[in-house]
Amino acid sequence: MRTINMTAGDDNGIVWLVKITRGATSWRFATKDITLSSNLWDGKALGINDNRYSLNEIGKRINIPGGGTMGEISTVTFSFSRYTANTFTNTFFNEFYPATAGLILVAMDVEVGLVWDSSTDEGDITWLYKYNIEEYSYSDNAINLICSEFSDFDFFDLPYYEIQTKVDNRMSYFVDAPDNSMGKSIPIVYGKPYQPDTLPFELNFTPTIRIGDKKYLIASHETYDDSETRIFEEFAEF
Amino acid sequence: MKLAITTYDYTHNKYRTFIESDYAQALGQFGLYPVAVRKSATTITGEIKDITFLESSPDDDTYIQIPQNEYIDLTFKFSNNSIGDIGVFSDAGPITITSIRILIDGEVNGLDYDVKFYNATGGTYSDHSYGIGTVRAMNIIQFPTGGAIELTDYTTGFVRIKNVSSTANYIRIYDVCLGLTDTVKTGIQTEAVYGNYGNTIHYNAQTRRAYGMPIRVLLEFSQKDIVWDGDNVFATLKGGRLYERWIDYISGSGRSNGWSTDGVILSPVGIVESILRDEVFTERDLNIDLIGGGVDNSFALNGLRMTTADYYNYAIIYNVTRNEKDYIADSLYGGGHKIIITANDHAAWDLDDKMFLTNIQGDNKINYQSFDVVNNTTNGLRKDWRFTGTIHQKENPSSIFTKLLYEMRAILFTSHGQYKLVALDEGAGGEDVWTEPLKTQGRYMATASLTPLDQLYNDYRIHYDYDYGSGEYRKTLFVDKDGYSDELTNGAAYQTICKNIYDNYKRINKFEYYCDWIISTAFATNTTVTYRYFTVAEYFFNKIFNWHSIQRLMVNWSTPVSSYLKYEVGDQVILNNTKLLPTGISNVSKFMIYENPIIPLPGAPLINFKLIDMTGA
Repeated sequence: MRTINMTAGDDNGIVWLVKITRGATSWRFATKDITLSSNLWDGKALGINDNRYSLNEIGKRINIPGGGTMGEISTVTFSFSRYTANTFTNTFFNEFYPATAGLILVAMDVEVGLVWDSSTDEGDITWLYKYNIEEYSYSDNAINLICSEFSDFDFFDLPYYEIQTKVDNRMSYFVDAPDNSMGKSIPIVYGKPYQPDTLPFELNFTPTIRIGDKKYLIASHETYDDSETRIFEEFAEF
Repeated sequence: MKLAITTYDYTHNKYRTFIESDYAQALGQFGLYPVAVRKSATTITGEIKDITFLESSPDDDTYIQIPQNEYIDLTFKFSNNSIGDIGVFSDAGPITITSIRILIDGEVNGLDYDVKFYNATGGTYSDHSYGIGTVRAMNIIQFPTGGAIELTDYTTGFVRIKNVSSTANYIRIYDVCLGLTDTVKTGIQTEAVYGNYGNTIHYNAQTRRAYGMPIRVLLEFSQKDIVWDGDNVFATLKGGRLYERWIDYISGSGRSNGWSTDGVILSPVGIVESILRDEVFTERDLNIDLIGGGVDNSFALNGLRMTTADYYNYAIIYNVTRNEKDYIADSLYGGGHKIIITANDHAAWDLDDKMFLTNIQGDNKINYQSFDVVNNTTNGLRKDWRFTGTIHQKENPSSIFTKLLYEMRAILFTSHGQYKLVALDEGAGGEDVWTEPLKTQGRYMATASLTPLDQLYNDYRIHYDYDYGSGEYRKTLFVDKDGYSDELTNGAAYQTICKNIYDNYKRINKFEYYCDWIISTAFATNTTVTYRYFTVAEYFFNKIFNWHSIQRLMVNWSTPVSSYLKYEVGDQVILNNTKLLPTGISNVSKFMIYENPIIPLPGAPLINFKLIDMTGA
């Protein structure tokens, strides 16, 4: 259950807030001019258009009935009006790329939240979701942003390490590994493949990678009862 | 590292297991070897005919059953440097038996067992009698409790196990092993050994029970003509990845969930959290480019991404050049350098040492309380679940999580950038009650429907215990209208439900799933004497069956924002409205929210919740 930071005054109107952040700098927009902790939130930027705010629906979906396990990456779109009186968007052209030395808007953090209309304190804000800007476009009267929730999982796979001989990173650099081991992922092992304390004895196995003469690699991390090495050697003689 | 490995023996066209010579010692000196099971009392029949390899797929269905007031003698033969025909010890000295373990299943209130060993002339080496009161499901009895049995001459011995229960219950013996201090030497012609005993176990076709011991050879020896390459060598080990510091501390404060740093990560929730913190929240391929003047805990790292002060606090830093790790107490940006301060001094760390960081911002990005609700060892909703698996082929973390979460029946999502984990279980009570959805033109903004018929199953097959060596799933649980797996406690009831679905809906709908993370496990809850057999696969099967054997009610329910903003996906509530919900569900069932889109309409914002009935989940 979400914690609501401002409980009193919830019968007042809602002021929706959008904040774009880059380091210590932020751009603040709202559905109504409001000053919170001495910071002005630009109320004319998130205006009403066709009886709706430019902010579209915000929320979360998980397809639990169909067996879904992870929330979908939600998106939000909104537009800023380019009134010259607006504090944060009046010089839009000159602040962001492709203006010379302009900041890159894409990938900046965007937070969406709300306060009740009576609030004067930023601590009252209940932040709902956090996004990254994915696309922006503009016209002579509006700036349009499409934002998606940031995914920690984009653009990389696991396991991270794979056998290689190009860089001695002390993790995956094995010069004696045979050719057919090159590029193989170094496993990540969880659980307890062997059950030494139970009967009947159950053996489960985990794949290894040959990294040298009679040497095999099991994992890229420390394992139980393995204070020295991730590598074991084949028996010397039989 | 203590390892067993298995490899494909091209000569004999099968997988074989090999154990390092000191492996058995390290594991408590247990080696399995043939035990002759002889006819003893009136109803026990059968005789060992087989020695099987220690395959990675032991047959759990084989056991010896001992009725009330019956007993069985497990006999052994030794010479002064060998056990039967199977092994020659490394020297001709005495054989020392440190312990005997027997796995027994049953529900009896009395069990006696005697241990006797005799020398060649009939003299007695040892003669011990033991008794225990109550035998519950899957107990291990172990003896002697002190010292060891040393055999210096040809000998025979036996363990007599007698069911002295006052009630007419049986016990079943599943396995026997001896602990030995000696190691078995090379030079055994393994084929000859196996040839001595044949290759069959006797089964009673009617009872489907094997009246023979499933004998397994733990110590086996390779042959020179076996080809070893990178694709046919597999390892086993006592435990995979360990919990890091984050399981005990969050942002410097204590965290209590029953798990501890350096404990093996066994639980599925622990695996999810570890993948996030140890694999996802990382920065790698770093190196030290500056060492703080005069102090041993200040290092500038080349390759760090962020300059924000304190951003790396409580991350774990690994110096892979030195094979050391620590956690970061402070981090800052100054003089053009990204600097971290380690919690401890590291005088030996040097320029260009290779580093990587894990758990970066993990304490802020994970709602650890939600993980602990499911994972804590006291009353966690998955506290008894144990997963084992290896990530060894490149895969996006999303797909890894999808399988993990599905097999533990949980959901993972972010709320304002923080990961939350919720078990898909029916609420335990205390849920808020909703009574009135919004109205439009005098009508409720609410509708209800059932889950689609194609998600109503009545033929289940869940395969588990994946063997990386053979590439096969070694076990399957099933139920349909015609039968069920013996292992399923609720099998008969499930079969009835499957048949009812068939009768009512006139269809057979098959559910089949292959588990990545559930193996055949016998996990100890106590490392000394008492053991309990946990069947994680059955836990999962029960969850899946309960979820998919009924059509569940799904409700769309619109509310105003202000008083309902606090409800998130994964929260459960009770809906109390007899105009919208039938008797027995209204004000009874718990519904989980699975969608909560907020529509920020000027003047009349609303939330269009979607909820699903969690009864029996």
